[in-house]
Amino acid sequence: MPGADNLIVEARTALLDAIAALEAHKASVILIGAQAIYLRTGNATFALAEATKDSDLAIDTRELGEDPLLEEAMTSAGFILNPVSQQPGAWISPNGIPVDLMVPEHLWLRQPTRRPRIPPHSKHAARRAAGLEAALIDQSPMTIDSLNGDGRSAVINVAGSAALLVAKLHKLGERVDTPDRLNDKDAHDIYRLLVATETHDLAKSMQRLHADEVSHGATTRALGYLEQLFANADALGATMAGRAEEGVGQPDTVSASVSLLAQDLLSALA
Amino acid sequence: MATYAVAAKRALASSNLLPAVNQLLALQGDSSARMRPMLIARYLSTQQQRVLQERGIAYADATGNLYLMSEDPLVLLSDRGASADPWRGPGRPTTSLKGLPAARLVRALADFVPPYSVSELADLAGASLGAAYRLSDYLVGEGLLARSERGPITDVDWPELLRRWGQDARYLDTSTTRGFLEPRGLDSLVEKLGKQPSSQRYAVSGSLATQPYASYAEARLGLIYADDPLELASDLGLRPVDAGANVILTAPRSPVVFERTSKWRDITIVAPSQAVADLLGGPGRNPAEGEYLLDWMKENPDAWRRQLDR
Repeated sequence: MPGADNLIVEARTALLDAIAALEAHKASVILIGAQAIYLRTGNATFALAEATKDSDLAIDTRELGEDPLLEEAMTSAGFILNPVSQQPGAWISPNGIPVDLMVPEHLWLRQPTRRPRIPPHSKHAARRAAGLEAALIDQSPMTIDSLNGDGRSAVINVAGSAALLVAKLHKLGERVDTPDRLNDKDAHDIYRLLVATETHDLAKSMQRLHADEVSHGATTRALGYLEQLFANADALGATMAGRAEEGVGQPDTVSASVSLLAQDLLSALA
Repeated sequence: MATYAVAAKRALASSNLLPAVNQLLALQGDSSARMRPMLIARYLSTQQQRVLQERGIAYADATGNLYLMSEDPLVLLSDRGASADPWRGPGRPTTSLKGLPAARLVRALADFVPPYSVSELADLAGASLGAAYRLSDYLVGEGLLARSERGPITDVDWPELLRRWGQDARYLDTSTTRGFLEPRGLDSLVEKLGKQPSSQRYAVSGSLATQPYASYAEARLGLIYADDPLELASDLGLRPVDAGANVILTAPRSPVVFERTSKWRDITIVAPSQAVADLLGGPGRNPAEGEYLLDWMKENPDAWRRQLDR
């Protein structure tokens, strides 16, 4: 595994490799997760350094072409399915960097398993995940630059701040009952998004997501999680966001800030 | 007939008593044995009077304390005056740097390179002549200021002076000091403040005021002086908080915080001499930031100390 220092650089390289591998399906691929969050919040500064090795890509199966098959595209670019986790959609690059392909749950509500059938693509090529529906609606293309100085770059659809907020809130909200799967950094990512986006803009996007049939349910649930986990400084999510800065930043300030910004957003939507 | 050798001092700090006594005794030694020593000062404390009596030195002060004795001819005059220095009443502190004139004078002593006379100092600081004399006497006694006899101030130990001032007059000790939160962080605060058509005067101090020249680390705690802190907080959309504040607003103890300010990113920041004192007496990692700024100020005096226009 690469060292922590160049993890961001390696992760970016793996992302560019995956984007190149999925070039034919470009219109149906949307960058989500931490990499997207850092791209959307890059103008603000935080005590907690950006750190992720994962690249998360959402697949919009509504218009997904059949050629090449997802698994063939990934395999021929050197990716393999993670043999340890054996999770569908959990790809790793030749350097061991994870790239996850995920399909929004709403598109497969009738499927009982985590393996969406997306024929003719393999049922192992991607897994379904809740809360990604908003990324199908709130997204725009951005240029992704390599960080290792090789000059590579690519344009890809990147989920907007509101969609990223909905997805992260689902990730936290769904894990409240299994605390060992909760990660303080996820709560801190929500703080990043709320700080870096004006409440007014965020509220407008949220309204749009709420109004769209595809993302209506996910958005409603996400706002419920926001109220439950972030609307006051002592709530679980706000506490986690602060705790993420322990030793490097200002936990109390982060907890208080994220709860005020969450309240602002909820009031703007009320 | 008795002859007295008289030494007259305006103010006599405790540390200056013994040198004055020795000077008198030396006079007595090398001239006629009939010369008797006498010390006259504006005010002599009970303690100082006791020391003088023990050594057989006559004294008088302007408050009426008097001791004059002679065996031949036999004279004994003794009277009691004030037991506290009337020139050192409330609002006229000379033993600490807490007061309002002290703020103006300390800032001027740091910001302007000597030499200058005490009356020029008073003008520079916008303080009264009396306050300037009292403070410079005090600082001479403390070894923080050098003044030639009846002449100008020649040297100031400004790093130590600012350090002492920062400890004596902490902005945290004022009643108007309140913690607020800008939930999007200090960068956002600076931006808002820069765009804000200011309804009142303000000056940013603390970590933010060090950013243009001696940024120790990313600022975490802002400090803003304003005449009406609550109104400014409301203009800027800051929320009052009990825990987790990232900006402190306070009404200045002295309007000197608004003197010799400069602009950075469209906001008004205090002079380094003000910022360093606030940081050294401030909370959290502020004192470390203050030391860092002080080092920069020592290395780059030309960048912030002013020569007097003559």
